[in-house]
Amino acid sequence: MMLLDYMISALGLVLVAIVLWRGSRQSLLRHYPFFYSYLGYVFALHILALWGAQLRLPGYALVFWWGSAVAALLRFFVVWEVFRQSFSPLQPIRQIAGQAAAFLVTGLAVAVFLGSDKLSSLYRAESFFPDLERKLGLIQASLLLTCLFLARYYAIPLGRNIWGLALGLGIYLSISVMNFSALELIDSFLPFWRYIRPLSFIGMAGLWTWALWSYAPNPQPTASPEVERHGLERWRNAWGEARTAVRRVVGL
Amino acid sequence: MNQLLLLLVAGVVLFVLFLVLSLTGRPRMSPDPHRLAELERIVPLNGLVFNQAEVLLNPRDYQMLRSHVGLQRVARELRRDRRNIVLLWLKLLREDILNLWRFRRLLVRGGAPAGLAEEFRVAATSILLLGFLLSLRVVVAVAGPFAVPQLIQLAKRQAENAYQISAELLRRLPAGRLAEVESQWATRARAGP
Repeated sequence: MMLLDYMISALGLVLVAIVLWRGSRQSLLRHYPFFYSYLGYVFALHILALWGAQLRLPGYALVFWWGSAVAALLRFFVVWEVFRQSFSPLQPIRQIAGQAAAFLVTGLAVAVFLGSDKLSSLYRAESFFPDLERKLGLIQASLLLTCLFLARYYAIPLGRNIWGLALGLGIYLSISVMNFSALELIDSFLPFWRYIRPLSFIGMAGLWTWALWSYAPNPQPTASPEVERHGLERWRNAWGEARTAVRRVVGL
Repeated sequence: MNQLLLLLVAGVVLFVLFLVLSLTGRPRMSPDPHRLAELERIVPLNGLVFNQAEVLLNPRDYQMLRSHVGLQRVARELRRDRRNIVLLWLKLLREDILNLWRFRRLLVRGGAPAGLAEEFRVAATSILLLGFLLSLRVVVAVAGPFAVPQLIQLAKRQAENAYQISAELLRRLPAGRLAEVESQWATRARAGP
């Protein structure tokens, strides 16, 4: 590893550590447990990667790539965090958004995994991991984009936390998809790819640092006085009916 | 190869869409209609209440008059009148922006919570919008009322955004402080800018 590689890795690690530190100080971990599980794993993986590269451990590369593959799968945790925070279980829109997401995942998974040019490439180690990154990245970025578009379409207000989280990961994933596709398409791209990914990761971690500096949840709409009055009237009527029913049953 | 190319294109499209989303900003809580009405009651917004901008900026009747040889003088008069009305309207919009900005400062002083970044953004947007309105006035004075209708509409939309942002801040004002802020605003309005 060159000095520049170390510096880029260290900067990414520092930013992730800051996000984790702020998360624990501001009690964000209990609000966004799925996101912080992913981030904790990435932090541990980063430390292992730096340590392994330093000691030149045998089998380091394979462990690193498998670790990265698990991190790629864990990114679904972040997507789920964005989804569950944006669409509350009490809102009917959650069902629509859930159906749209399920349809999108199924469609994209069928298109990218089964419609592959050469399925045999999946079993070759050197192309397996970039292929997984590309395909999972495409599905996850599309899911995030769908969440953000649905939130905009239905005018669901998003807080700084979820907005920054979704935008940061979305931009990082789209760069990752471009990067891993260009890598195999254009040979001359090779010197750049090893910097683009970590630098975009630093961009994402920087955006997350800003977004998750303090707790800024999605604003909850407040009921207007008319709605509250209407709710109270309904409750009174229901309670009156219940009392009448009980009196009738006990014969009063 | 084909799939790689498709994925590359998909990556570029996703990247552009995320950038567009980041530039348009996150969806925010739409201001309570009660607050909008309250704001309108406290701060008179003479430019923003005008909702016939499309008619004012539409050149069709002017073009129709100009196409008749005998009506060209009437067409010129119509154009001049329209230009004066557009200039007056742009001036009123400018006053609205200044009033909303002043009122916002009063709200923050009155206890409405606002961060430094938000204050900076509002100040920068207001200054840019005031500059934009001034340039539009110059363009309309020189090139006529029908030269840049889209830009004038854009300025109106931005002024409406400023109005909604102020209404949102009004919502955050601590309970019981509105009467005090309102009376301070009335005193200021009587004293003049």
